[in-house]
Amino acid sequence: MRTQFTASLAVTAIAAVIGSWLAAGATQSATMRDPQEAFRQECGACHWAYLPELLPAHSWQKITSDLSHHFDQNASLDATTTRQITDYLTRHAADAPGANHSFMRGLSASDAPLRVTDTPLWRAIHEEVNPLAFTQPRVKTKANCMGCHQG
Amino acid sequence: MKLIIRIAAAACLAASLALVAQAAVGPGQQAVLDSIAKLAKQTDPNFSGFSAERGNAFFLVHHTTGNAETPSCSTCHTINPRNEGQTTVGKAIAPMAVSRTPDRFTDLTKVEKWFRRNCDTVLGRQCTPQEKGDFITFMSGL
Repeated sequence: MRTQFTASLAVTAIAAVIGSWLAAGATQSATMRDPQEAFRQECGACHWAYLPELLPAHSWQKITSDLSHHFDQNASLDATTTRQITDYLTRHAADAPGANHSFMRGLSASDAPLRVTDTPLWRAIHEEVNPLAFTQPRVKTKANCMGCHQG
Repeated sequence: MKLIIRIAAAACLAASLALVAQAAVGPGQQAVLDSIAKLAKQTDPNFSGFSAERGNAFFLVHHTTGNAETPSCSTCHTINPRNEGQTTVGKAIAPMAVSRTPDRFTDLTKVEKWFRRNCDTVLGRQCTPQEKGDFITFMSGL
């Protein structure tokens, strides 16, 4: 019963996050590279462009401060683009004013997980997922949200 | 006399083959190759041009000096550059072959960004201008 409640709460929270993300995207100009577009193009070249609201601002700062060592890969960007993307991510982070704070659940203000999959909410939501699901060829890794959540 | 004609014919054939080989590289790729060739000449006095064959070998070789998860270019790009690749986190990569992705290697800043990142990750060092030019020459002819 409790699990069901947690699950439905989580689904609602994620739907709200994704809904607001899509609404924000619809108002962006398609002709110039705004911060959101820079984030989607640069970060989204290698992996799904995670929603900024999935991690606190401190996490994003840590991640973008050392892109030359980004999970054992060099993902370095020029200084201007790095600053632009960091600014965008922190302004829309899980603990940013006006943001959806769902992913702060179970995190203290000083916590700065580097992976969405290390957040208490992510773990609660995926608690009952068969671990083998994450190693399917089309999924490969827990980091590949869209491996399961799309197509 | 006959010998002279034969030599002339062979020279014509060689020249036209060279033209065909050059024509395979589009103007966008050629501009990027020219910039990299300039660097190659500066860093290597013995530089004598780029080779698609060397680029092919470089693409396939497995290195032991970088990230063990990605020992080769072909780890993500597959052994056939005409195919779509896949990043280590499951995102599709458009084919590297210029015939399949025509705007590949036409933007020097983008080219240098990806060599900087991927050479460090795969080889644990930066690639030389020679290696970069060979790589692009190989992909441009595919």
